[in-house]
Amino acid sequence: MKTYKFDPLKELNIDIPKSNRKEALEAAATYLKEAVLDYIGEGKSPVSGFGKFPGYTKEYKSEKGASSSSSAVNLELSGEMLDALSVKVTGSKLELGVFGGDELLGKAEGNNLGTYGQPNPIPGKVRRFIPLDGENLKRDILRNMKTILEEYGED
Amino acid sequence: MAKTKIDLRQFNILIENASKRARLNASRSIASSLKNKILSLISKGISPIEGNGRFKSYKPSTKKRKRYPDTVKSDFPDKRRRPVNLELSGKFLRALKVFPKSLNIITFGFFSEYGETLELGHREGANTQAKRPIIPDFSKGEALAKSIQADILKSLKQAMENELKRSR
Repeated sequence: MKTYKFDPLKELNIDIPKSNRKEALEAAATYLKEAVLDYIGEGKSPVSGFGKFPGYTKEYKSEKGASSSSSAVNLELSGEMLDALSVKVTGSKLELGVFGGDELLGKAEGNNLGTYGQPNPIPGKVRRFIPLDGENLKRDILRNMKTILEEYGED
Repeated sequence: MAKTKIDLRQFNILIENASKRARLNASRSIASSLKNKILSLISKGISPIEGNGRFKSYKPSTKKRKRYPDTVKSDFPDKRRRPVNLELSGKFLRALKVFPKSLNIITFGFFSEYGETLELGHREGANTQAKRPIIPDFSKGEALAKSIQADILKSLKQAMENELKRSR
């Protein structure tokens, strides 16, 4: 399961003094995690070009209903996968991903690529919550991130 | 920390020179979106306090010991382990109040004894439950979630833009 790395200052074209940069990136990372979880909690993809997550099968819906009161396709059954979702600051980049053991990574990849243990994606079952190479986060997320980063723009 | 206040002066630099009307509209709009956003985050199991992320999960029941929410199944059959949304009967979250106190101050939190007690229980992790505070204690360096802060800035910018349009 690949993580998504990007340089927010470069992509959003923001200049932040070196002395504020670390703090700014940490604030952006905190926001990004919240925003991604918020989108997922509503059953929506945080990735540009993807809308609502496709629905669960009848069988899975009934299994999920035993442990979750949410009717949204929120990628939360035991909650372990989303508990392991994190955003790390690595150098000048933010790294969004699921950080955990093979089982969690498998679950994350299954949802993100729509494979669910199969060699190829199952049509209509992609629940993209971490962008792949060449993809972007939703504009609304980037806009808010820009607002947050701009707060660190001056010494 | 059952209740607290946000000092909007730090955000209000943007519209310091705008009219009283713009500031009044901004504080009303912020109060309304603040309540919605806090409740929306909690309903998805996300803390409205910056950096806290998702609420810690409920501890699992064991053969020897039943734990929440299994202990309340008979009275609340619809309660599930997920999301960890601080909602059982709904009375606690309905007690959350947010209102503009003055042009610069928005007060929010729990003002009833019931709400204060439950908020304290969540904050301190009463009865061996995990700590799940929801009202930030600004005096201890806690802050509202970044997405809420971004919403506040957005509301202020919107109020400023509306004021500029009006004055044209």
